[in-house]
Amino acid sequence: MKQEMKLTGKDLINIGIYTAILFVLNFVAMFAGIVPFLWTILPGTAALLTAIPFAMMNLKVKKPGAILIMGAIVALIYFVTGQFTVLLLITFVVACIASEAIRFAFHYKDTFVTMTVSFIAFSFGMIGSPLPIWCYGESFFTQIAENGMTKEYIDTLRGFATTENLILMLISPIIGGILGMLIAKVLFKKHFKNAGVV
Amino acid sequence: MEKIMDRELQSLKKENKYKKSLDPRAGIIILLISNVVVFMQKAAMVGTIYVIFMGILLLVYGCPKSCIKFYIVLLGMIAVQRYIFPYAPSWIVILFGIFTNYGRRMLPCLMAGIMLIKTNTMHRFILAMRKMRWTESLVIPVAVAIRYFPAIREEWQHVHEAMKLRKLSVAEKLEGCLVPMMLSATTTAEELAQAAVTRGIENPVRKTSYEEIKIEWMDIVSVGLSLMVAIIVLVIDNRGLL
Repeated sequence: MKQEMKLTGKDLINIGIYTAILFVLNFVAMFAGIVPFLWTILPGTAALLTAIPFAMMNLKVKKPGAILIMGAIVALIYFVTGQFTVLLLITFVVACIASEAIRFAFHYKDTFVTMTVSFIAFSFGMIGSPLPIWCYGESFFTQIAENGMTKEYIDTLRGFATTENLILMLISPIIGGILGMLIAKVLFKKHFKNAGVV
Repeated sequence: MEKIMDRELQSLKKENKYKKSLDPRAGIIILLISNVVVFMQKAAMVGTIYVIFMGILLLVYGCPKSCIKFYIVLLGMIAVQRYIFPYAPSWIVILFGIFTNYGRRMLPCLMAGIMLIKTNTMHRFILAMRKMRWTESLVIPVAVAIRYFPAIREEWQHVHEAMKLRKLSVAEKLEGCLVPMMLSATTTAEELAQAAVTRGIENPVRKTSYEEIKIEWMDIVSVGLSLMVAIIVLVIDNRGLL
């Protein structure tokens, strides 16, 4: 690897700080998921909220490995707080690698389009959270019923276990990602460019 | 110089006399065990035993306040589930049912996490991560990220107070929260990077430290005990003895 493509101490600190913000916003989206419908489109809401720190991190650190480290930290903190299921871990890792690969394919020359594409790939990592509704079907509902979930909640969730909702869930990160990036672009133009940050 | 540092360290130790420190690695193992208990248990009742055990462990490590807090939270959640939900309207049950349920299940993890944080300094975490031979390019971002959470909270409080004075729409509120947060993050990153570079963060050699961490017999005992309690709890749970 060329010397200038190696992560320096400054890059690492940048990654750490933006990851902290990304994690907090991601957690907000996760927490909003106690409303059943918002949980089924969790990848979309998370994408909408986390676009700004993700874009900021990409603009500051144009080197290989940045997204992988970001994903590793988010996974680590979620794991420590006991939020991660195996399915979520798998989708998250795959999404991070895909996102990093897309950035690598564009040689880390970030434009709006390439950043949006890699962000959508990154956002797909959260589909592992609501996926059990469709993936495991009835056995999932009996399991959470055993865990003591209330009957009303389970019935509401069962209402979402249709193919239309699955498609909605799968395209939600695309819509959320594009919208989030557009908002980020507007905000960057309005505030950050003048402040000389970007 | 050595003597002054020794004295400093001694006074630091005196301050934390009642707080025994758990080795970060042992703490992470206990956290993993708690995770397994949380994921494997079926009936919430059995998990209560593990929560009580973790409370005792918290007491032993000198955090009586958090122990009492967690017990109160547990009792409160049980009371709500027993006495309020049967009579409450269904939307309350839907919204808060998942909250109390997950909350109760997550308690062991939270307790293990709190124990880990309260008995350790950030520096000890870094030492532990280095001893576990993580690469430096993961250790630094993790340390920075964890240390930055309180800063985010502080920032949010400032913004929140300033917002109270004005009438804003939701979109404006979000913008008003995110923009200052990102701006201050950028300046902090800049300043922190300069400070860290002058202190030799980019020096590729292995870093040394005055404080050292060692796994002591107490760490081994508490890990062993929590493993034992976890196995007992899971066995009772699977056989359906309760």
